[in-house]
Amino acid sequence: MDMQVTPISQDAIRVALNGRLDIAGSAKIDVPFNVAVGASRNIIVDMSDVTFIASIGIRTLVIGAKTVQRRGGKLLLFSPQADVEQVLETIGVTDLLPIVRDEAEAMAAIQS
Amino acid sequence: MGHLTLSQAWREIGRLSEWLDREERTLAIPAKLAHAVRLCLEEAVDNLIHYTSTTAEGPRIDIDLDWQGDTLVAVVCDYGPPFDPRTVRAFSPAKDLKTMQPGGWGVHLIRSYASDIDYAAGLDGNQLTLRFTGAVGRASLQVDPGAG
Repeated sequence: MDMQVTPISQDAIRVALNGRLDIAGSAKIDVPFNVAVGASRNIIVDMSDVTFIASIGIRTLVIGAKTVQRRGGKLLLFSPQADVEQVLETIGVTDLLPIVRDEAEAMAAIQS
Repeated sequence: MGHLTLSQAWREIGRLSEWLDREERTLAIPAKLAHAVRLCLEEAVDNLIHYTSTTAEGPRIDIDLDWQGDTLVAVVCDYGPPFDPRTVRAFSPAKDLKTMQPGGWGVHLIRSYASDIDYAAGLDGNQLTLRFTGAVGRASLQVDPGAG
């Protein structure tokens, strides 16, 4: 699991994840992900290259979303793969971790 | 048949993933089934490492994976206190981020992605049997909309 952070506006960053967000993957990104979440008001987590997610990976995302929400910001999931999205739906978190499909939708969701 | 013995420790979780990579190729597991098996075994082993303390028989988890006809069967044996995932209360989705307590999702995922679950606890350990068919997952997900 790799992670790359890119600023996309004054109050938003893109956190691109790549690989399996399983136990090992979550352990690898937990600290840098929390640092990234603390660095901007809004977070767009690019999930397009995440090939697998387990409950521990969802936990990492939810804790980040809770942190962002406390500051009045939003954490969005960008374009997750079908298998990953199905796991998120099964857990029932897609209302709490909104999914966006493109940059325009992401920026609109942040500004709404 | 593939077999893996893990110590009950977080450092072992990488071995589970590597073993599953190999078994997916060896057993020619279709992608959809492979995803379901990986998810269920990750969650089962996560729970065992998280909740089970060391026993006299040793902190060990044995996993077998093989086809029985068109059904892929995973058997997870451990030697800690019994825990039957079939008896866990129906899952309640969170309603808002503020009150949401992350976690407790593993059993729900196992029950959702395995086609069938058996469990037996005896003097020689606990045995969780997960079966996966082409139509992965149960049609009737147990969600309790009134709770939580």
